[in-house]
Amino acid sequence: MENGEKRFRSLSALLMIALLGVGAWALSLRAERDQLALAVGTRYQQAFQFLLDGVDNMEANLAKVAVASGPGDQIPLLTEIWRDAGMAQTSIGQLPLPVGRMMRTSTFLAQAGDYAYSLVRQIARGTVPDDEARRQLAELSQEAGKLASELHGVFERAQADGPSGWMELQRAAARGLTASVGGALGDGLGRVETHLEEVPTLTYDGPFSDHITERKPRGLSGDEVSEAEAEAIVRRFLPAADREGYRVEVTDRVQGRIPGYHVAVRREGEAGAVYTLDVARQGGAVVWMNSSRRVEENRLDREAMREKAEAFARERMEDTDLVAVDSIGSQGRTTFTLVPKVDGVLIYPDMIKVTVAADNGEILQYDAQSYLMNHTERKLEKPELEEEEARRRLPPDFEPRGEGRLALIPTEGLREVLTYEYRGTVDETEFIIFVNASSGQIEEILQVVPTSEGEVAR
Amino acid sequence: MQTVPLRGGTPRRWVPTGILTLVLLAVLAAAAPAALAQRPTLYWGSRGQQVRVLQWRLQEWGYYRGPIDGIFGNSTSQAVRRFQARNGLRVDGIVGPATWSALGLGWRAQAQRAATPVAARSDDLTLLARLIEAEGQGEPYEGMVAIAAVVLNRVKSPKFPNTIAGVIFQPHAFESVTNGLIWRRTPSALAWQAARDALNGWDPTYGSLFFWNPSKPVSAWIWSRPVVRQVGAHVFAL
Repeated sequence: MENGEKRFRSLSALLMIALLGVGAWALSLRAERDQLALAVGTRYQQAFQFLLDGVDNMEANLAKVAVASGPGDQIPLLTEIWRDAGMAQTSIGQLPLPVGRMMRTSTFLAQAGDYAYSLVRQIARGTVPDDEARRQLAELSQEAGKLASELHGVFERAQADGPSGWMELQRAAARGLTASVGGALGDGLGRVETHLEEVPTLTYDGPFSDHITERKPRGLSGDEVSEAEAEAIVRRFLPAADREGYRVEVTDRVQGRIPGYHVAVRREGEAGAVYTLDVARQGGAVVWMNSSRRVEENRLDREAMREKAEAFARERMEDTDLVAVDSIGSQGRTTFTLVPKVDGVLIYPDMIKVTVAADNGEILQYDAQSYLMNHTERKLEKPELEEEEARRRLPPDFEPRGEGRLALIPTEGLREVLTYEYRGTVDETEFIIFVNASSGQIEEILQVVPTSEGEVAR
Repeated sequence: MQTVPLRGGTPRRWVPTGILTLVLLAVLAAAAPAALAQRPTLYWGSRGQQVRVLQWRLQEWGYYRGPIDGIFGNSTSQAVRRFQARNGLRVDGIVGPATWSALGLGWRAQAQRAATPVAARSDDLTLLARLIEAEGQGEPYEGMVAIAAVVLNRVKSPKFPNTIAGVIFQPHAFESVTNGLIWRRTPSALAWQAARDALNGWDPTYGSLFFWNPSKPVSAWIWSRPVVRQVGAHVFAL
């Protein structure tokens, strides 16, 4: 009897100890989890505060730049606006928001910074901002002010909740793609967005300008083609010698900036497509073609492949003189960039890309999207500078190899400028320098770096 | 040809604590000449690119009217002497460090060879290939390229962060990043190829910024985006 009681006691003591152990373990797990949540939430809080700081500084500097009198005052202020806008925009990308949230705020920041940067470039080249620029800066300053005060409202909220508020927002956002997230923070940030709804459009020479985001293709011409016509176009386009043996079929339609047909090319009796293509509905141009065949062997050298690429493209664009300007290759596939030459000028915006297989020289890919977006009948102006004059504007340590060639290049804002293109070296490093053919200013400097895949200009 | 412009950055914090600054300055001073090279001393009879640089600057500053031919002859020598006389230098017609320096060409930039080969620095390519592998399971090849194309379109869009890592690691932007799948799969050869095709500029999505699987529950908001096309199991939209 006594023995049994003893056993019972020791058993329950053991159980107690085990229970305590489990309890302590659970507590430590929880403490660990809380600590992680605190660390993550604090990072979110930091990102939000960076956003706030960035917008505050932007507002102040935008106001100052409106009263600044000369380039000496304007350039430092505009540069700071560019940097602060970048910091604020980067911070938005770190907040735990649902997809699609704060895109308008992000756009505003990117454009304001980009605009300030475009003015810096302009001033550095000797053009003082005009009244229109001043008006736009004043308007941006006002918008930044409104944005700042909205964000400060959210900040009060974020201070009250601390990191846990951000974790709540993260959990809500992680549950799904819903844009309407509860929680005070989510609501507050949602309001910030709606208040930015009427931001005016900004057009200037930069990559985020509205004229670029809303771009339409310039290279489409002709009447609408039917499905049957698209199939006939594809059959004529195919690189294969036995093109009559394939089954060509429109399988889908494509909307967007180049509406078109999606076409699959199959061998009789096979399910997988050998080639897939997109054909523009207007005019029936092939936008791209792809064969994803894996290439196992490298039998051809780059020169031989270049000839194949040029021959293929020339056959399909008969009245265009195409020049291969660079190539990059790996995994048995080499992609060539081909640029049309019109009246002795390389038209870079109108480039097409052709990929060649290294085993049998087959054409694997063709991509004319850039051509179709940019091509138009241009009136090319005569260069104001002679080649010799342009050469004199090159940096002194740059040794050009041979004469400059005329090239039309796109700026960041997709303006097109006529330049002389020089390839050469500083010591042993390769550079490509584009000199504006009328002002003599250097438009772009690219460093050419050799890689295992080919030369890369960056 | 087009490179993604680098935006943003963190403000530099300068801590003017005595010793630290001194040490830093000393290190900088010692390090500077390593990246720069001194120009050779030039005199009558010298030839080459450095003579061309000299003539170029003398012409720009109005001391020299002859041709920029890279030959240090009589007219170049005259110009150098005129320049030296006007700038309080010893008038000897020899272009040494002092004269180069007065010409504003004391040091010349020596382009550095990249420390690591560029192919090894393909961090963006690796990240894209991983994302394709994780998000594009069972998708046709264009569908794989399309996923990477959406990332690159976001980088170019003001609505999203402007680096590849910024876009891919944006909270809740990609399911495979949220659930960690992106770290558990090794990219296949096809995923690498698709990542390369996207970086080479192929965009089968025509500028799309979103993609989703229509058979899974998604918000009504995302369906309000203008759809461009469907590839495999994914819908792509602007």
